[in-house]
Amino acid sequence: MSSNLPKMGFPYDEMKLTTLFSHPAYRDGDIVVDCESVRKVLGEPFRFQGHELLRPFIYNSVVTSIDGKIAFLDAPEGPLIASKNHYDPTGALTDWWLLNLLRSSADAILFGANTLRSEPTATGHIYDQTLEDARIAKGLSPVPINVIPTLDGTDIPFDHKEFACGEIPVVFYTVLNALDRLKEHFPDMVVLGPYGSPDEVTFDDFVVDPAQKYAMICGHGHLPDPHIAMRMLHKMGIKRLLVESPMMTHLFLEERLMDELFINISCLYVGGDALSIGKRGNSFTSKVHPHTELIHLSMHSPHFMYTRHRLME
Amino acid sequence: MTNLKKIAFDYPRLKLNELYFNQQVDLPNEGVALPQLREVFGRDLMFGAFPEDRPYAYNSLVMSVDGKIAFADAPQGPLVARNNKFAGDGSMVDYWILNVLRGSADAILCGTQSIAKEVNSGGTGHCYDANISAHRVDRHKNEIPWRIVVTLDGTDIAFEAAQFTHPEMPSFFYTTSAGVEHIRTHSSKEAIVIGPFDDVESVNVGEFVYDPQKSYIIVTNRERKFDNRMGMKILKKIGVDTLLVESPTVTHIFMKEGLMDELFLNQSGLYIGGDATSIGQRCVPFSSIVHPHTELVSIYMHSPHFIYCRYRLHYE
Repeated sequence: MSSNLPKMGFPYDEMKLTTLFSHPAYRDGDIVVDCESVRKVLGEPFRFQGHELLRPFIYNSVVTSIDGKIAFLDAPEGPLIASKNHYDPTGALTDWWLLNLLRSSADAILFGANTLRSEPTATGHIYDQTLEDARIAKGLSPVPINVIPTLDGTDIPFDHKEFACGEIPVVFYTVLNALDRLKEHFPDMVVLGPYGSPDEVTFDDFVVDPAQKYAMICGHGHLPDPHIAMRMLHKMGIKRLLVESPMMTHLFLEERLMDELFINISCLYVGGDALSIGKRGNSFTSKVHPHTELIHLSMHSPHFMYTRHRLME
Repeated sequence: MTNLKKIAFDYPRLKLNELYFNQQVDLPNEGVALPQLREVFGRDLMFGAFPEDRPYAYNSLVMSVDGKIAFADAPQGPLVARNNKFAGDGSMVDYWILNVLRGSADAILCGTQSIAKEVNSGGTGHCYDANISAHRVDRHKNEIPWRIVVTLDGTDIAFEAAQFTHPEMPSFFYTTSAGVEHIRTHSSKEAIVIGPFDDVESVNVGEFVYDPQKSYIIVTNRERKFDNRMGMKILKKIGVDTLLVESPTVTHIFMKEGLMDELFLNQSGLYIGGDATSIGQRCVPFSSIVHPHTELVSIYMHSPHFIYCRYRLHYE
């Protein structure tokens, strides 16, 4: 059963990508999304490696300039890095469609309250009907669970459509400090946890109700423990998690929880002190830093390319 | 040939896989045409049409997958390549490409910070590939590209660096009127001052003949700020057709002024994040309304842990 959330049409034939590199080890992954639109754009079904992790397989999606900037200083909305590329508007649209493909591949998507505040009408669902249908055909819910991190609930715009539409399953990724405020707005909210460690997480056979709100209490401290959170999501049946927040991507890299990075490159230059991934976090050192391996590279035109990296052990 | 240090590069180990080459980009001018380049790239290095009023300018940088050009705890740029433990010879390719680009350049613009770092290392920032250096001589170019140090007033220059003490290194400065006396006083070679001129159109250096026994002070402005249109015109007039810009900050500033033609950005497969250095970090970023666009010229790969991108710039 499809959702009633807004959809849009995409010109698949014009969005066709040229594959420049595909890592041999990744050509035989599990088919996750397969439909005519995916075959038109990618030329093949979309795949992920299977896994036996006791947490979701975690990947991000971000568009950057050629110098790694994810937003302009004067206009911080992330999509502008793509849409202000005047030489390839269809490449920018393809960037947006790929985000929808990655949402379609995910059991849950994680994004920050900032996104809700800056985009009052946007919700974390799939805007391409063909991708939503393909997901449903795979036995997934029409809308991925939306996981929203908050430390105390004060940053959540509770009047956002996200919470009122009744079609989006929402899980707050939080700590006990936030509980009273969240319950003020959602008195029937289901509270999961707190648990003191990943191994303490015990619930099984969890069925998500899209009309319901949930709060994952991730540990007993003031900061959510991401390892407990990921075990809880795993117990909720989340096999794949899309992280849309660049800051959470950085934090998950610090915790060695990220598995892949999808970095689309809009061929423009921003420079200066504009925003980059995890800018407010501590940078990795010359001694300890995550390594990546390119597993896929494609391009729409010489003005837009799309990279996919896996994180090395 | 000079006695400056050379490195024997193991070309077969540097061989790259060409993932993309833009056949629509017109590249009529030779950068470096040698069998060694054809062995690594599968083709020669060629450049676009040279502007009439300034050098053809390009950079060379290595960055992480998130655009960082240095670690916060160890700011030497090459570590972003070298500390990629999965890269194998990919980091050496990055270094060799820098040498190719040095070898293709009539002059190299570098910042005073690079010079300061060379006080201890003894480096001189020349082309370390003997084959490319010899090829320069065959083409009647100076064996050593002129290395031009960018300084507002000269006071930030480490004159004790090998760049200035090694007798075989050319000595050039790119400055303003505020830097002339300081440089003249501290330079070990007799200084020839070129400029400033009233405006770009009036730049006239006559028949410029380079003398390795002299140092050259290029004065871009009477005021204590750079006039890069003037500076670039002077460089063109003294014979600089190709200019490698090694300073990330100057790269950014030149893009602000529409003076860069290409960007060579090598990507080392690692992530740094946070507030580590990126290109032109201390400068004002471009806005959502006005920003340079780029077009891929080529993408090469050594392994899935290191790729090499080349972009042509488009200004609005």
